[in-house]
Amino acid sequence: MPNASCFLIAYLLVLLIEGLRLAVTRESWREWLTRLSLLLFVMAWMTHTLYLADVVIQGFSQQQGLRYLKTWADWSIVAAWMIALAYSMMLWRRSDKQIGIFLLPLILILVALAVIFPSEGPIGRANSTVSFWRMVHSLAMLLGTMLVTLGFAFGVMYFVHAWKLKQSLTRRWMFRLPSLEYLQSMGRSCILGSAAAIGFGVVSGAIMNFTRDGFVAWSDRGIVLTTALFIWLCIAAVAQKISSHRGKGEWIAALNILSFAIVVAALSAVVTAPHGDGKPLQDATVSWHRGGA
Amino acid sequence: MKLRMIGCSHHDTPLEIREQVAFSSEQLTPALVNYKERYPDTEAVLLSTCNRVELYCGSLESERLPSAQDLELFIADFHRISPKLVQENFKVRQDGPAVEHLFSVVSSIDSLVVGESQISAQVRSAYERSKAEGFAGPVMHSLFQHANQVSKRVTTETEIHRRRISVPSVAVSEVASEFYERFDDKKILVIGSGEMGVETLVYLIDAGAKNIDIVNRSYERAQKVAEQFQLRAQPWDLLDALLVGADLVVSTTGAPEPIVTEVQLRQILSKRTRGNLLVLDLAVPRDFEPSIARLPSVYLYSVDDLQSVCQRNESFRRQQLPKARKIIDEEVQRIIADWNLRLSGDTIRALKEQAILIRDAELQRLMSKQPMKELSQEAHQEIQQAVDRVINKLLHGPLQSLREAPHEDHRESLASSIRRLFKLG
Repeated sequence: MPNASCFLIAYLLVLLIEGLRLAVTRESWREWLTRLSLLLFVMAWMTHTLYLADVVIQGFSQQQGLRYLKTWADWSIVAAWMIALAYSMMLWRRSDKQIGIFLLPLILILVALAVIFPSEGPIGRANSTVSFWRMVHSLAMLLGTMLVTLGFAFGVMYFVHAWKLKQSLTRRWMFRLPSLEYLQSMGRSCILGSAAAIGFGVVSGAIMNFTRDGFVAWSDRGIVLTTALFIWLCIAAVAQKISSHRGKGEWIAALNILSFAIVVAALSAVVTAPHGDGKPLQDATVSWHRGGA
Repeated sequence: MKLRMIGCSHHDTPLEIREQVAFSSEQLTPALVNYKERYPDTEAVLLSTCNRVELYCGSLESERLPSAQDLELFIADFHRISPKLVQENFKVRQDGPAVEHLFSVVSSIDSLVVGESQISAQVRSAYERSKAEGFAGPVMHSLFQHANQVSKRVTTETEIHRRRISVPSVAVSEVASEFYERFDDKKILVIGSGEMGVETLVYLIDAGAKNIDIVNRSYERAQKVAEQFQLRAQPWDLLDALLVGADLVVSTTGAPEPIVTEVQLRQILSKRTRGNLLVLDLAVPRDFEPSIARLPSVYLYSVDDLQSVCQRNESFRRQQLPKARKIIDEEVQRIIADWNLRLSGDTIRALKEQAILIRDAELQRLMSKQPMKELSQEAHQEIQQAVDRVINKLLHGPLQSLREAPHEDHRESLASSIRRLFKLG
């Protein structure tokens, strides 16, 4: 079965070709590179999918199902796969746009983190009831994180595209990006979707902790930061709604970029917190974040 | 099948000459009638556009085809101009090169603006006219129907028509689409109702725009255009108020001074509740002060900006030329081979039919004689088979030579000789 390095290299090649497309001016060569990039991306994504399918099949063969995805590295690979899936759906409609330049580095970082830092122990400890809520919590947090990451990419794309459009048209346009309206609308959806997913993750995490320990340790660093992230996303969702229409695109893009910065900070805190190493925790510091973030 | 064309185009004939030799739509039929009176056994299609005048003549036999001089004289006589003028400006092509030229014309790779879409319709219309009035026959049918297919193939297999190259079309399809996904929910303001404004309106409506206001210094003129497209005309006094609510502004007035200054737009922006404002200033001199481009959430493009995109798109179309030429070369080979095959096929069929006629006539004459009537049925069949064998053996050599001719020219020459030797008509 493939290992993570296989699709890491394939994604890297796709990114290189995407970069090359920027430099090539001849239209026929650009088309050729687009096809090559698409082909390589499909190969990379298929390998990525096979890798995850193998992990899940192994999990089912050991009667653990999705619980076999138990380390931070596994979840990082799943997050990368989900972003790659979102990218492939965008490619389906907009293969001429260079969205990959912005999304592929994020996929690469997630896969590279999993390859470079393969965590050995599972995240947290759990009985069967806790396992269910841990899975719900993990999936919700994963979806929320992925949406924030996508929102970040849309935010950066919005600023790059707006900057490009402010320049004279006589300059050759390097990036072909989706319209400002599309980027704004996707950015808005990412804020709303991530707020809902992270909110669901916080609630399911609280239920998981309460089921397992009988209380929720609200002072835990991971809990504090993810709750703060949820509050921030709620503020961002409200702020984008009530903001004045003029300059709204920039405002949404900025909110998305800021949300991503907060997610990175929150994730770093969660991963480096004691519950991230899979060891039994002291009673007083037991947190619902043992199930993962 | 033989083909000869004579024509001039924008490539090497100045407009003053093209004007003298052009055929108006009223002149086309009389010209073809005149041609047919001179050369009754041939076919013709006359193509006359603002960029070219071309006369295509065809015949099943080369001897019947008018010579280049005949055609030059025909054009000169019709227009009552000097034959020398025609001779100096018209190019003559025949067979393969003539076919190749027509395919290049119909695919718009020979056009002044490469990839323009009108020429294929003009060629089709010229052919349809000849066909309807009986000036086109098998050669023209085959040629122009094939030309139509070539045009479609070039359109679908290359991107020669894809990128827009006129300022209004680029403004809508390439610039406005960088901002907006859809136009049906956008408020659009068109300032000015001149030719450029009207052309832009066509592209905007085509892109789905519905909510369009037109303002013009002359309200009547704005109203006229608005009625034409079923839109709204607004009085000039409402310009600032309309700018407050607009998403996209297209300005095309002939005003000598800017009609919107930076100070004025700053005030307008303070009242706006909508998102980005895209201004496409297609007027010369400009309608919007260039410093407006620096204002936040305002994107201003002038004609110069759009022209540069047009030039880039034109260059893109030119990059498609080798691909289009390859298709044309393939299709020229195909039609010439088809014609040659058809010619030899016709000769073979005619020769066999003539042989059968002779055989039947001779057998009938023979069998009507008394001694033959007494012969058995088997004997009759034996005689008929013997005659068939003689005919087949006699024809085998010429027919095999014709089928196996190594070159198209050779096959054509053999077919022509056979037709002449056996008096096949």
